[in-house]
This record gives sequence, structure tokens and C-alpha cells, in this order.
Amino acid sequence: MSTGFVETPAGSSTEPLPRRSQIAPIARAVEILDNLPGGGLILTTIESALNWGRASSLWPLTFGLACCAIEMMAAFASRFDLDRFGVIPRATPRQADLMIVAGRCSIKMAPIVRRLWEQMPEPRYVISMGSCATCGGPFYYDNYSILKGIDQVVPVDVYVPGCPPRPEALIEGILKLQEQIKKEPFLRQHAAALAARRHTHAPRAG
Amino acid sequence: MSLVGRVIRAAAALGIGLSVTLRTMFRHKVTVKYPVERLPVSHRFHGLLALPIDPETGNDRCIICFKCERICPDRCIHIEAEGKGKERVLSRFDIEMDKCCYCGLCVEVCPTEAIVFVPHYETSTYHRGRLLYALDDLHAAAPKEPVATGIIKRRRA
Amino acid sequence: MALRTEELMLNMGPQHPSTHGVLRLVVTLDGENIVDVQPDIGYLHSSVEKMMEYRTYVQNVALTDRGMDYLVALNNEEAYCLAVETLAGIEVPERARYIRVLFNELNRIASHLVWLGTWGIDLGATTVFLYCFREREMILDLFEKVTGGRLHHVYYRVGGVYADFPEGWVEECTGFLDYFLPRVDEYHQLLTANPIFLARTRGVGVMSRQGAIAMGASGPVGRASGVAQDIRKVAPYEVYDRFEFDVPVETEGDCYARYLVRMEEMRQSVRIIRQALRGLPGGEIRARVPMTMKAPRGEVYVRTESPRGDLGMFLVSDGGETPYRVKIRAPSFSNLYALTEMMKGWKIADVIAILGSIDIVLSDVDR
Repeated sequence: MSTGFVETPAGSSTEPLPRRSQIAPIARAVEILDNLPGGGLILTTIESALNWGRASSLWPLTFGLACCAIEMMAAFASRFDLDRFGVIPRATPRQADLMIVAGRCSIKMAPIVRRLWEQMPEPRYVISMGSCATCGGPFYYDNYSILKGIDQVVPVDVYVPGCPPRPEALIEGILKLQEQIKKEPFLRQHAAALAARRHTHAPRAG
Repeated sequence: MSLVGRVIRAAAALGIGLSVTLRTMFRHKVTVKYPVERLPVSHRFHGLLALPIDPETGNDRCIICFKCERICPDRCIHIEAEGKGKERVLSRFDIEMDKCCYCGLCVEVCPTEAIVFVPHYETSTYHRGRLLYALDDLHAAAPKEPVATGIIKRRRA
Repeated sequence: MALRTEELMLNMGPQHPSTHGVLRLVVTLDGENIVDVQPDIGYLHSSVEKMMEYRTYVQNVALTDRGMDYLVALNNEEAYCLAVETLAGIEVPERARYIRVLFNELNRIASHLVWLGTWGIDLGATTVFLYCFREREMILDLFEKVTGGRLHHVYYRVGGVYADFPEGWVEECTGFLDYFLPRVDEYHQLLTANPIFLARTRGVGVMSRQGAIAMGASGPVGRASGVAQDIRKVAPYEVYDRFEFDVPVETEGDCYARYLVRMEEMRQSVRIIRQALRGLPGGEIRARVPMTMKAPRGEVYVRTESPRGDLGMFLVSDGGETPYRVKIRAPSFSNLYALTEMMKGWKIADVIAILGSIDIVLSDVDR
């Protein structure tokens, strides 16, 4: 079904291109280090250290849509206390790197969810919390206003089923996401993406 | 009110408020360190749905009456059967756990207690397709001993 | 040349940390003063009234939890089941009525605790949020032991309730009530005397009695403005007429009055629960109603007192298995539009205090 706006493919040129001077140092350093004998080992070690830091300070956007937002609040409150995992809610997408889509998303709200996601700095992650965010849930049939799954507008990393999920289930989802982050070849991916972009958009000589 | 009086009142109010937090500091802690320690979950908790296996017959108790499929408000249960009469067997029993709203109506209407809730909630996945529970998954989700005693006890009483 | 000021239009929401959901407020400002506020709703419209026309009477209970006010699932179920029972002439057993009253009031406390906690955060008092959710988790534990759900229960059925209490639940509930009453005093100690809290709430967002009546404000918002109406008293449903409780009414109509009304309501709810637990009769908990029930032709309108106010359910049946038309009179909707009256003339910094004080749930506004 249509969500009312045009989907842009991943890696499209909606964002302003980084300048050459910005790309060069990181990408070149990674490239050189990777080609040195034993350099891969050093790179992987640096990567795992960086990933540990990223996974241990996931800052979610406080973005509640419906019922699941109450359970999300409960997860931030005294009994479950998500601060133990370095998960501190931020009020603005500019400071967040995780979006917990908690609750059903209507078609009127979908473009706003997409825009919030686009405003978040990369690397960014999305957790779909609850049945409604995952696929519309109880509002799947006979319904004209609810989006049938948040993955129609933003890419989702972890799905947490439940209606609403217990706060423990949300915490488990966040732990799963942390596991995924810890495995990511973060630096190499970053360098490769930058290099690819430089390659495609390099200004022609002459 | 004079400035001095206001300052004194504000300080007194601050003192009262801080005394509450101080008293709370010495009460028992309520935070559950989740992955290490877990809260006891009620037997009636609406967690995952499962088809427990009957130890006597070695199969589940489903008699293919389609009652749960009909009552489900989200239409997330899909049942198909093969054969006729006494030889009718389940060929498909799918529950879309992502669409399920965990209302418990299917558990309530089931005449043989074939479908039950298990108090198990850690089911998050990386792929949405994994949330389609087929017959084998539903068998595997069921614990070996009956856990949903709250509901079963009430029925037998 | 004379100095001229221009009005500024400001968008608040739909993503704003303290709009309590997906509400967009279009605020017209003259400097810092609010000239006009127009709420833009519909960001959480779930078309639940239409969906209920396609679900049977039994299935609809699951929808009332989620589609309506999600903080007070049991009060929504109450309104729906009461409507169907009135339409079909079903007699609910005595014990089920008591259990329903008990759970309505427990849910009222839980809902007010969420309101107090989130409002506290809006006003800069984070401690209250942590304390309120500590107590709320205990109520949710009590719910979970009986209904199996924490937020959405699907516990009431047409003609009664689903399951009886497990062993030892009544004692646990009494223990919670004994624990809870001193906590209400603690919230008062944290907030009521606090000069910052008082400066931000007392005299802010005043709504007159006439204004409240004209805008259809009900529940604690109306009662804080002097509209002494509580459906539990004026048109008792279930067994509310057997219990002794007071309806707190304030006349100031400001944020502080709304706060005081809700705090007192929590105490009164404890009183009702105590009486319900003491007078709990034995016997059946559910009338014999088939799972494929049909309601006779006709229409019915019932009113209940949800924690937000006057919750009405209008049901039309054409004699089939599903309702022909459902209309929900949502208390948050009327209270939200009373906001435009309250906010005029206040500063931009008061928007959050006033918005938090009327305690709306966007799911209830949009449905």
C-alpha cells in the first residue's frame, strides 16, 4: 500500500556530499592499515573497542506513539531502569542513535516518523516495539488509518513482539541490538561507504 | 510576604522534600537487574502461545474444531486439516505472533486446552518472518511440564 | 513610526517530549503571550469505531483496550460490556460486579499515577516520576496475577469477568493499599509545599465553571472548576451506589486545583477498594452468555466515569452478531478542546504545565 510519499533508495544522494578533505583521512587511514601486515588485527581491535563504546551508550529518542510507550516509560522508570545499560532517553533526534517505535503508527504520522529517522545521525538503529509497530497487529484488518508495519517507512533492526511487550522484553530487544552492534565491521563499512560515494560523485577532470 | 519569610518557607519545603528522598534511600531497592535476575511471572501471564504435547499420546490435543481461528479478533491463527472423519490430522497450524494481540480469547474457547499461554516473553528477532510460528515452533515453545496452571485449574474446578 | 508587534505562529509536536503522545499544537504567540491555541489531532486515529462494526460482541472487548484510552483499559471494557449487557438484558452476577468496581478503581489509581509522574517530569520534578512508577508496577503486578495482562487485560466479558482471584490475592491487595496511602502523603510532601511547583501551577490555566460546562469538560478537569458531577454518584452503574466515597470538588479551576482533585481521587479510590474487598460476595463470576451472542435490535447509551471523565458508549444493534454502529464519547476529546479556553493569555512556558494538568490520552482523543 502507498504511504503517501516517495521512498528513497538507501545511499541516495539526498544528503549533502562530504567534502574531499573530510573523507580522505579516515578512509585512507583504514585502507592503509588494512593493507599492512598484521594491520587487520589492529583494525579489528580498534573496531571492537569502538563498537563496545557504541553499544554501551545507545541513546534512544523518546518517541512514544501509543500504548507501548507506557511500557517503554516503565522500562525507563525505577523498576527496570534502562540507564543501567547506558540507554538514556534523548528528546531530540539529533542526539539519538536509536529510535524505539512504540505503538501503532497512523498514515498521517508515517511521514513524520520517516523525517525523524532521517534527522538522526548515522549509524542509526530502529526497534519496532509491539505488534502494532511490527505489522499493524490488531489494526491489520478492516482498518483504513493504521500503517501495516513501520518497516514500510524505516528499516527495522529488531522486532519485539507483544501487545504491549513487557519492559523486560524491550530490554531483551535492546540487548539483542547491542549484540548486533558489537559484531558490526563499523570502520571498514564506514570507509567503504565513503570511498564508494567519493568514487561515484568524484568531479570529472577538465 | 517578606523576602525573609519566603526564603524560610522555601527552605522548609526543600527540607521536607529531601527528607522523603532520604527516607526512600534506606528502603529496599525496587530495581530488578533484569538479565541477571528475573521477576517471577504470573502463571496467567499472556506470553507466548503454544501447543503443549500430551505425554500420553505424544501429540498435541488439538481436535481441529477451528474455534480459535474463528474467535481470534486479529485473524492471526490459520488452521488447515487433511483427511476425513477420525483420520483428520493437522496439516497447518500457524500463528502470526507479530499480529497477535495476546488477548487470550483462543485459550478461552479451546475445548481441549490444546492452545495455552506460556509465561515466556523473550522473543525478539532480527527478522519479521521468524514471528510466524508454525506447528513445530508452537510445539517447541511449549514447556515440558504444564505451566499455565492458573487457567487449567480454573477449568477443571 | 509607531512600534508594531507581529503575531508568531509556533508548531508544537507531533514529536515533542511533553505533548504526551502525538498531539500537534498550533500556538499563536504575541511575544511570549499566547493569543490562540489550536490542537491538531488525528495522528493516532485508529478507526476503532469502524473496526468494531466488523468484530463480534465478544471480540470487541479486545479492541476497546487498545483502540480507546490505553491507560485505563479496564474502564473502557467496563463501558463496553455495560452497554452490551444493557442492550441484551444480561444480568451480571453480584460477585462480578464487585470485582469490576474493584478493578476500575485500581486502574484509576494506576492512571492517575502515570499522570502525576509524567506531569512531574514536565514541571521538572523527576523524582515523582520514579516514585509513581514504583507504585504503579505494584498495581500492574496485582493485575497480572488475575488478568494475565499488564496494560491490556481483556478481562471483563459480556456478562461478568473472565477469571476469579488466585489464592492470596485479596490479602496482597489489602497489603498494597496499606502501603499506598502513606505514599500519597509522600507525593504531597514532594510537591504540594514546593514553591517552584506552586509558582508554576497555582493560578495558572484558570477555567471558569461556565467555561467548563460550555466546553463539556468532565471528570477531574470539570470538578476542579466547580462542576460537581461524578457519574458514579449522579447515575451509579454496577454497585457504586453501595459504597461510601466523596467526590473532591475545587472551585479555583487552575492547574493546582486539578492536581488536588486527582490526588484526593486516589485516596477515595482506595476507600472504595477497601469497601469492595470487605463486602465481596461469593458465587458465580459470569452469567451464561454464548461466545456467539446476538444482541436484540435497538440502541443504547451508557455513561461511566473513566479517570479522564465522562466516558460514554453508544451502541446500535440490528440484531446480528456484530454491532451496527458504535460511537464512543471520549472524555479526553472534550477536555482537549477546553484547553483553548484555558491557555489564552498565559505565557508560552505555561503551555506544558496546562497541557499536562488536563491529562489527555491521544488514543482517547483520536480513537
